[in-house]
Amino acid sequence: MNNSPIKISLIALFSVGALLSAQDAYAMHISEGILPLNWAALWFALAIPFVAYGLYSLNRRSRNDLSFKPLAGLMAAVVFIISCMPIPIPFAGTCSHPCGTGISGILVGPAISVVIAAVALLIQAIFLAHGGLSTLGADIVSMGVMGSFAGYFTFRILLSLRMGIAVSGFMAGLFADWATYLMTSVELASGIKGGAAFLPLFYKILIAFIPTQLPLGILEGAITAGMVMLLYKKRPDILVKMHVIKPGDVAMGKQGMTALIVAFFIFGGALSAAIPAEAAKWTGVDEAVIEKVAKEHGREAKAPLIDKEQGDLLLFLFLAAGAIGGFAAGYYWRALVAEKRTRVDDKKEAMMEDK
Amino acid sequence: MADMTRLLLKNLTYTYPDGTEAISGISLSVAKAEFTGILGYNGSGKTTLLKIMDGLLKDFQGSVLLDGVDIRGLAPREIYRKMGIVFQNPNDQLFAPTVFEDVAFGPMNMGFTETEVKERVTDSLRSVEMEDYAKKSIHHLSFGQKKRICIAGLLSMGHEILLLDEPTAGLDPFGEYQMMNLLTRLNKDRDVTIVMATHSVDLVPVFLDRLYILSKGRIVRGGTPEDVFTAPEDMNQVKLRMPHIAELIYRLKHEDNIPFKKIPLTIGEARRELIEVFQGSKNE
Amino acid sequence: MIFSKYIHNEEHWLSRLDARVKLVVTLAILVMVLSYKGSAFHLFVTALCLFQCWRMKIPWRVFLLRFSEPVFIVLVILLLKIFFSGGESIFSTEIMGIQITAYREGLAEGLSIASRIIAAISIMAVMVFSTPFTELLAALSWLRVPQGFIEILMYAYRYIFVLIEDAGVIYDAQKNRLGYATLNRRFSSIGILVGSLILKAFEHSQNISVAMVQRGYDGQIPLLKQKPFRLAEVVISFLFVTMMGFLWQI
Repeated sequence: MNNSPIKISLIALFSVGALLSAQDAYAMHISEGILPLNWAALWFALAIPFVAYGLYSLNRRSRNDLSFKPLAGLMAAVVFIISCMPIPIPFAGTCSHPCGTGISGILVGPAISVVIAAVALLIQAIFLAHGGLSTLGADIVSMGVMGSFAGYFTFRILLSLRMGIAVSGFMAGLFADWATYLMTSVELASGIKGGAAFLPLFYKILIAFIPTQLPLGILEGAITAGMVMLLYKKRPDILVKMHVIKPGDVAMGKQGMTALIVAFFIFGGALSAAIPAEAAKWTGVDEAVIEKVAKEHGREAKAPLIDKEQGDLLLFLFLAAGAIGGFAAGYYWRALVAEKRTRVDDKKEAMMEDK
Repeated sequence: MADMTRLLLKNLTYTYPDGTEAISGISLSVAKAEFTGILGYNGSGKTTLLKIMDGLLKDFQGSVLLDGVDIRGLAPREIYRKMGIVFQNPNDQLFAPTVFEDVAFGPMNMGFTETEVKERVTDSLRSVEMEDYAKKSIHHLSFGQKKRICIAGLLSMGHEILLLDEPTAGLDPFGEYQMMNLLTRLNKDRDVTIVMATHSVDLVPVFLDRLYILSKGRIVRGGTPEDVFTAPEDMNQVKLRMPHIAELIYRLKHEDNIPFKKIPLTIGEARRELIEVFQGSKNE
Repeated sequence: MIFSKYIHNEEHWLSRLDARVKLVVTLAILVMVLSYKGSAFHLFVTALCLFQCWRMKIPWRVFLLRFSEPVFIVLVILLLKIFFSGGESIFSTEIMGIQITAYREGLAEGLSIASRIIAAISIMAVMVFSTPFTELLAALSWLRVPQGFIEILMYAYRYIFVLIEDAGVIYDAQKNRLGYATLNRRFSSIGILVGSLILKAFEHSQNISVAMVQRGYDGQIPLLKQKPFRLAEVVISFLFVTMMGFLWQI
């Protein structure tokens, strides 16, 4: 008798792990129906001003340049394709996809990039059920607003620091991806928390996404850098026209690279030194404060929902299971997506086209 | 004849922004309901020439007269009411999701009412034999069908002059044949004046009234196909060749001294010439 | 490509319905689903929608692809909720020294969210499977979605297909020359692929705007007028929504 619950939970554990990593493949999108009405409405309310401003500046820019609206439409198509591109994540064993909004943010500016992301997201929601109509607002906020603005400002700031376009592009892609991932976790946690507390759930989701999102961010950075460099080499005039670089900004590639490597080590060193020190300084402070405030309001601190040590262990186990299960899930996932084409299919399609 | 001239190019020269010369000193005229071809190798300046004729490139020297008026003095709307260009890649021209919406785009911009727009769309789709495809998505069409829709999109605006850039490029042999038949029909039945840029020498003589050969941005020859295709050496100089059948007869005449009266350009003409020569030798 | 698997059934009666009516009904039911506490209404909506999907003869693969991602998410959320929320425990066990406890409240909440997601996905599926994209565009513009947004949607929809073709050509060319042989090369190849796609986007947008200008484009695409509503459709849809609203109440 005692055997069966153990079995059940083991199966559950492994399936959660596997599913987590399979689901990570679409981590950027919040699926239809996850958010209750009030949250969905809130994110819509947040997203709409950005989209409206984006449309305003789009109309203004297309008055001078009639090719600008088609360009925005094609960029949306590119963002759509980029975020449908399955990209193997070496660490997690699954395929995931970049979000591409960093790229459009750099090229057309963050405001219009929000519109582009919104269009791409709507098409994805309709055709592929990635994301949804009701969660469109939330997805626009995380992918469109956060991704575009993080990408754009990272790029601009680094470029003004004379970091070179490759480096700036890399960091822009990285931060665009991570900003999106952070925002998605906030939205997801607040949406499904129900009666539970927000922060623990948020941390759990955050941790659960780490194995794919950390490498994915780096990958997105690499892609963005590759894209910017290609444009820089082949068509610098486009970058100038889109106000990405100034006509004078030539020969910034190599210098920036060395600058980056130096900066990276300094930054990394400083960070590794600073974090433990900082952490040591502040440990317990916020907990103490919150506890105090809570007590004042007549709420005694409850025992943690899950014992901290055990919870962490459990999560670790989840991640390990995720890595293993991910291989299996990711492998068979392809079988479903990449359909075997048969002659019958071809014939059918030909007939459809004839009609 | 002079009042029948629709397009007149005088001493046209265009230089790319980077300084290379695209075309220089081109003068030619296109008469009403004429089917004109501009023949040249890839990169000879055909597309640039068509774009200038259509008023898309403005900073050229010389003049382009459309019905006797310089196109630089015409508003775009006045040009595009009469004349339109079909680009080589139909994907660059068809922007709407469905056939109907795309073909309706022109007439709607011209301010026609809904019923008029519909009539024009159906009519122009019928003339390119695509009337059953109005509700189709563009991406479901084949390459050749897309090209037809491009043409329909211009016809629906009531164009009298069509400029076509490589209308047969990328089509299979039968598709080429169909496309040329369609163009001839438009030309003969609807009196559409057609200027077509191409590098396919075999099709040209069968269908075209007048022909210009473009090389290095200059017109090196002009006239009827018979005037232009005279000797293989001349054609090779401008990186083109004779139609195969013409080259065969040319070699038979000049290298084997078989007494052909003229160099035929099409299979039909060649057949007649050959029969004549055979019968001539039998009679001797 | 998954994308080409988007289909709709033209024979089904839902396909003949005015897209505007369909969109409004879908949105209304979506709002009801999202604001309903419990599972009964969700299950009813799901059953109704799945039945319609079955009647529309959607191929199982298309159907599965559409539902696979949400179903994954549903399971993840369910498990997260069951094992990580608090309250009364259903069972508790220990594996390898780790205490695992399932909670009743978590189960209830998880099931509620799960049914909500499935219901929302189903109603969307029915609408999408019965409506061509262009009709949806027209319906959106009737709902006062700004014209600029609609135009960009239109271009995006049209050129996704063209760019996917372009991307396929570049991808094959890269693959032929071992662009995807090692992990490093794979990343740089993807970067180049994306960069080339953006170059293509620029080229296409230049050419389209030229082609459109010569057909009278002045910055705005004129939209076709909508057909008038059919009264019977509107009335029946209204009754349907009212009925659903009534069910939602109880």
